[in-house]
Amino acid sequence: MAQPFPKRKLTDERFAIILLLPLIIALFALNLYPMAYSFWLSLTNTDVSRGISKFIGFINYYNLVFKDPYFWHSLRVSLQFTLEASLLAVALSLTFALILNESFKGRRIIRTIAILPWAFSTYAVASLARYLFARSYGLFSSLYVYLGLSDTPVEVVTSESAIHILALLFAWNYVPLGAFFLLAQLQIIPLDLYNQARIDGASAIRRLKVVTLPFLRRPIAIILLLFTVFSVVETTLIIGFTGGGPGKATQTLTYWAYAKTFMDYEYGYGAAISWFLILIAMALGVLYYYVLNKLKL
Amino acid sequence: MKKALLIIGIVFVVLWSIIPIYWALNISLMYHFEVYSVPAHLFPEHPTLYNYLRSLGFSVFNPFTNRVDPPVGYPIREALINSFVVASMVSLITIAIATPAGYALGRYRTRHSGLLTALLLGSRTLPPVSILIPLYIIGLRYRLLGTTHGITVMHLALVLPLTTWILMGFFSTFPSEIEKAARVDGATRLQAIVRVVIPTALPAIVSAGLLSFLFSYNEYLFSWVFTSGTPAQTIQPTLASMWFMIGEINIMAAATILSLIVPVVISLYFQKYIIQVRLVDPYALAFE
Repeated sequence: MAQPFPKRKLTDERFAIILLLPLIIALFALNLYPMAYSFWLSLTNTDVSRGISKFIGFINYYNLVFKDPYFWHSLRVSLQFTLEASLLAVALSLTFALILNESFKGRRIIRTIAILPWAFSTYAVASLARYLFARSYGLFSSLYVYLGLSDTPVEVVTSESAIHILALLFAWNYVPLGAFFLLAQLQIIPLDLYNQARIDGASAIRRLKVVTLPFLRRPIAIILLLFTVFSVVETTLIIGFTGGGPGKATQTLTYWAYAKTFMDYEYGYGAAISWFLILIAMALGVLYYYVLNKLKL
Repeated sequence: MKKALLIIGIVFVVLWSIIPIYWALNISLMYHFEVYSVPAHLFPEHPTLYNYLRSLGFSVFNPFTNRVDPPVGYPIREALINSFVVASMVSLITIAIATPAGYALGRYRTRHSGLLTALLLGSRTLPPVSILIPLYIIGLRYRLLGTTHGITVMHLALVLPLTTWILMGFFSTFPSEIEKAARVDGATRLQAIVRVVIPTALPAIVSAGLLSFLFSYNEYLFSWVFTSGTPAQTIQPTLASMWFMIGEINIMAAATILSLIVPVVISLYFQKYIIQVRLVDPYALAFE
């Protein structure tokens, strides 16, 4: 007699899908569905403070690009912050990696100290920075007094300087990650190459250029893209340190989307801003994937 | 010449990493009257644990006002406990979901694995703000605001893609021979995983769990929107609300330093781990 329900063979494919099922469900519920919902929201004029919610098509997007001067302002601020923050973070990561790769007494301790900012929350970084840069009790404003440059503490965070300070803070938070990643890459460069270069009479700078940097080209591209993605979406640092100010000087696209939604309660408009962000981040993500997998650097 | 450069470099690395921490620590050891000295004091003149004790819920005698000051009116201890509970739940659930998923993606090439990998990377690149808005509205609807399980679910949304990505990378370099040997000896796929793969991969799984713990502990944006001003409030939003309302910034400095203990301990563990690099992808180690 034939079995009414023949036991199906468990193929690798089916087994993999069973293992993946919880993740797939979670991704759908917690990432894809919210994204779809956010897109729908961006097509409405939902505003909780005025109690309205109506479908209006792409009007939010149209207003953003053609009517709202803050859009272009925020885009420019985002661009400036991203450029400064990611380039500074990459330059310092490389510097730190080269220093920490040298052999010297106490290197373990120095490495332990250098890694600390990596583990700190972005909000804690913003908090620490508020102490450091405060006018009355900040270290930097008082340094002006100690160095005899001023009689009273100086306001360090101004509408000109704020964006640069934010870039510096971003770098403080992310440099350990980049530095330790590059450090790991430095350790797989064969020592023979250095010895050979030395025998050939290459100077330290020449050795750096000819031996070290070619090995680091791909890792540097990776962290540059990584820092670009993270600085584009950085919100907590700005909320915690400047709150978009002074004035609107540090109002990036992310901060603006946050403020529109959670301070002005314009959910629809906030969602539309955030979709511009998603597009930028996705483009960078694709670029990242491409560099990581396809490009032979 | 080279030696001098190196020394300058080392001094720079140390100062760069230490100064921001030192400055908050300095202020956290001062009584209130000293904080506003002009110019600011580089060291506390009367170092004291007054701020720490008051933050942790004790009444402390202040010799300068000759008064016993009450504990600070912010639930810092409770917030630290809340953070601990949420982060523990997040890391346990994440590991339970991400370990099998990471294993499947790293070990088997199925028809859909390319799509899933792209989805994972996409989720990781997603700006937190853009899923915060819809998830907040969903949270309102399902009464997830102001609850410990609510913020746990939100952190899962952020941590799952990240942790799966790490473990996928780990399992794709994990030698499959031992597992094959177990299969030849008659173990089923599941038995091979439970008895052979998981014990061998345990250090990596624990590390991934610790990373999710740290991520959840450090997360601010969702924690603020979901828990601030409620009994479920975690430590990051507590620091934020203190900043807005408290006059005594020396107490706030002590609370900030207290919040850094957990990250410092975890970073001591990872210092060794990062150098022995298993994590090829720096994507895996970045935090919001």
